[in-house]
Amino acid sequence: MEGNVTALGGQIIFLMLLAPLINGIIKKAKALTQRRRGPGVLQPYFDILKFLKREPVVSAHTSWITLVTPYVCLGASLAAGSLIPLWGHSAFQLGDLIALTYLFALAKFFLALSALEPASAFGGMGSSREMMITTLVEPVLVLGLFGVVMVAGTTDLAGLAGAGQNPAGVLAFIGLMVVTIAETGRIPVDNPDTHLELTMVHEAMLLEFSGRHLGFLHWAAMVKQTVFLVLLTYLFWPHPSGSPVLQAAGLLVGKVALLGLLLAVLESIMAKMRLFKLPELMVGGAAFCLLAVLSNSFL
Amino acid sequence: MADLHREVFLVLAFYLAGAVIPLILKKHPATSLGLGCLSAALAGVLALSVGVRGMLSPEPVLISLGHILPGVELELFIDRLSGFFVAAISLVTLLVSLYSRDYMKLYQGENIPWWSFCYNLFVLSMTLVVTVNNMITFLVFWELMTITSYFLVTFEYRRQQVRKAGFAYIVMTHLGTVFIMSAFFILYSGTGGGWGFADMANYSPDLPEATKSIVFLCALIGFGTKAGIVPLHLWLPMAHPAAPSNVSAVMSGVMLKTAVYGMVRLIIDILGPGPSWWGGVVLAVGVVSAVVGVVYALMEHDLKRLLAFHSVENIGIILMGVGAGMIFFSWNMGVLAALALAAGLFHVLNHAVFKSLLFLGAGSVYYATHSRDIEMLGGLIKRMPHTAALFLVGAVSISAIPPLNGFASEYQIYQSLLGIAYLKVSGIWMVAGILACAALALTGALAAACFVKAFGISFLGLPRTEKASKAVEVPWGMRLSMAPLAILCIVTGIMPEMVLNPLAAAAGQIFSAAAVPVIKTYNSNLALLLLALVAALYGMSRLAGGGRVRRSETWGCGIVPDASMEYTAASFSQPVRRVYRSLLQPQRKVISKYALLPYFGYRIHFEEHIKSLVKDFLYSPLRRITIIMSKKWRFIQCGNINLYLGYIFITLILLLVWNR
Repeated sequence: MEGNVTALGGQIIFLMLLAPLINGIIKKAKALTQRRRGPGVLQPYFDILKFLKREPVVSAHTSWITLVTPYVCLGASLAAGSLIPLWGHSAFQLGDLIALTYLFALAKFFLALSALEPASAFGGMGSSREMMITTLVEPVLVLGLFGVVMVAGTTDLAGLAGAGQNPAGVLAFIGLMVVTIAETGRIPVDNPDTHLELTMVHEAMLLEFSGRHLGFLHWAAMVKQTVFLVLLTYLFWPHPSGSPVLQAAGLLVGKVALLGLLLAVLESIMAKMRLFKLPELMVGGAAFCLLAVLSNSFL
Repeated sequence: MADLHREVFLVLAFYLAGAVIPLILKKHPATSLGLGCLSAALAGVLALSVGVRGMLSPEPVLISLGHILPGVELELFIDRLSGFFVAAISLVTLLVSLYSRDYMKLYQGENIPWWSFCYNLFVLSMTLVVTVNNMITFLVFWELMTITSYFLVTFEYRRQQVRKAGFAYIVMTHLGTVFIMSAFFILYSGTGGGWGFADMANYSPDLPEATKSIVFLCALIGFGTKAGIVPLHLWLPMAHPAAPSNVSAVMSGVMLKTAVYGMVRLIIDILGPGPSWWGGVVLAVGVVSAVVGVVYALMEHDLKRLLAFHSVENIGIILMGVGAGMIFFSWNMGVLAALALAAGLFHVLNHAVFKSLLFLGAGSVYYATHSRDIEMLGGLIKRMPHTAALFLVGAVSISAIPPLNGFASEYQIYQSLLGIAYLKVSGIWMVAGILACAALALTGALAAACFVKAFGISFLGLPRTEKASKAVEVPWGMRLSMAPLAILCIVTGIMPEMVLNPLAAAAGQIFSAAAVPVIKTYNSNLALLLLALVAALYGMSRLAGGGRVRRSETWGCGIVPDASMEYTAASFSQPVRRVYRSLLQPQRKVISKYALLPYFGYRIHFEEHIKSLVKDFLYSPLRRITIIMSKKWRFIQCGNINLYLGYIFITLILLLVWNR
């Protein structure tokens, strides 16, 4: 029991600390592919620290929803991350793959609501676009994940380590990569580096947040990105069970960083898509996931 | 066997008293309203205890109330399934009755004793529909339920729109009743064993497969009309906004569920296991209703029409669970079937709770602002904080977001649908199961989008009209009767086992499955983890920088923003309208007037409508055909009474010859 508590707490802190590093690596890699020097990989840590020290200014029109949103978002993302039994604390029965995907919906719901609170057009725009993108992403995500799950015969994450290691898994992986790009707000779906109102989605929702609140929301976005990458490595490329904790952690960081590099390269070689071209991208992702489901069903 | 005679008699007595006394006290509307509501609430409390005890008792309870027709006895048969439905109905109507006492003050000057009369009879007939055990009495109370609810829908009959909605409602449900009656009569003529459900269940295995399939389809169409499956859902978005909100809460929250009860009773309990395509059809109907219902809901700006379309969606989700149960039943897997049906029934309860909460919330908004159009609202969270918080709980629940109850039941439905895929019966079924899961995910995402819109536009931001800015919180009576529903959303979300296990036992009884395993869920652990994390993060933030927050004006590029710069509901749903345009067929008209050049516009007119494909491609042609046919046959209607007597005589002779 005590070991489990340590494992769970350790994993939550591990994810909190890993997330800014992964974001830093992605940013650095992007800068390098664009022939820039870019900020150091540790820069996101400094950013978060700076934000946490600042007093937040919130719009006078907002209610308690805006005040709780930063904590709900980061809390839900961390809860989602702690469901993946990286070091075998599955004895707790905290939740499964379905809970993991729906916890992100909780975060999104509150963020979208709080974006409508300050009564500015920017927040409404971000909120409306985010929810539209969610309706495209969610079915593809479920299709891809369940394409993996249907082989393993369980949604319990403890039984899903490496469940995607089969030919159909390759197809599901490609589909889920598309989902990851959309869910983490990266090019070609959204641009994390811009505040140009015509193109932004996630950033538009954050526009009225500042100080500590903004820091928590940025952190939540980084944790979400890391959780998605960790989930992908867990399903498709897990470390052998029983390996020592430190070695496993090191391997995990390496693999997640590799996937992050893949994201950075994809982001650098692609242009931002028009918002209403997104259905085509998601249909493409859905096609791969559906092929995975079909091949699991008929082959 | 529990003895429930006394309670049942008291329930009947209270509902009848609640119906009759207000009519007697017609001169004192306030007293009669109070007594009518109180009586209904007391009956609700007793019926709830009857329902819960019926649901938990392993032996069915049989209560005879004497003959109502020669050979037809009014008997109440409360097994676990009926007990569950009685409990769900009573729970919701109990709270709605308490809510109505304050809410109906909005309708001063209308015929309130008549409302009390219809309301009490309506609730009574719903309670009886789910407990009687023969077809004649079932149909009697089914009709009573339809007629009383018709009068409740047309309560404000002076408005033409209300009369129109009432007409659509009564015509469509009666068409549905024709199918239900056909199903019953086919069963009766096929078995010849009496009108009792038990007799039918005994004889039905001997029926030929084709007859059973016809009965199945009749039952699906008949009950489906009442439940509001696509494409038979048209009356729902018309009737719900027309009715007073407390009535919509009961109709949407529980009346639709009597149709689900009818389906489960007739198709699963009486007909027994059928071919697997039955389950497939129910599952497909569920998927289509869920997705279509929620897409149309997202396009609505009338809070109650929006909620009405969500009822279509949730009936679809319930049918996905029921359909999965039927598929397992056809494969002879009683335990899995019981778990799937229990998931569907769990969603019946959850939908009853959160939908009545939301309708009551919409009623409170209407009470405070006299508006149902969310474009006219805004900023209500500041003026009506309690109503806003209660509505938010309902909104999170219906969007299937953990840790509330919508997620708990949809999770169980996911597991059942995945179960279809795990079994590997055939490739087609595996793909169907996974695709149904994807559809459920799409439904959840669209519902979340819809409720970000519904809650965000009406409760957050700045008030868009004077009415909204002058809103005051509704009376305590209304808030306090909504609160238990919100608490239930949380409790059943965190501890679903409490309801799921009795439901699994009820479903197991129907499928005569061997011991159904005890369901364990992780929901309470997950809720605890979430709570702990959020609290820890808040503590961390307090440590890092204290709790200070500075308030200032929203940044608006140098202008102080006002309500006209806010996002509207129409603009919020525009991206979805555009992405799902093949289904919605938006028709847009923009007229701009320019002063000089295209850069100096001074007026712009924008309108956008969505087309209802079902209306255009199904109902309009049907209506045209009906009118043409009726014109052809008009000559037999000449108004001469002798001729009509002649028709009756000829019909009689023909029937006598036929039955010689």
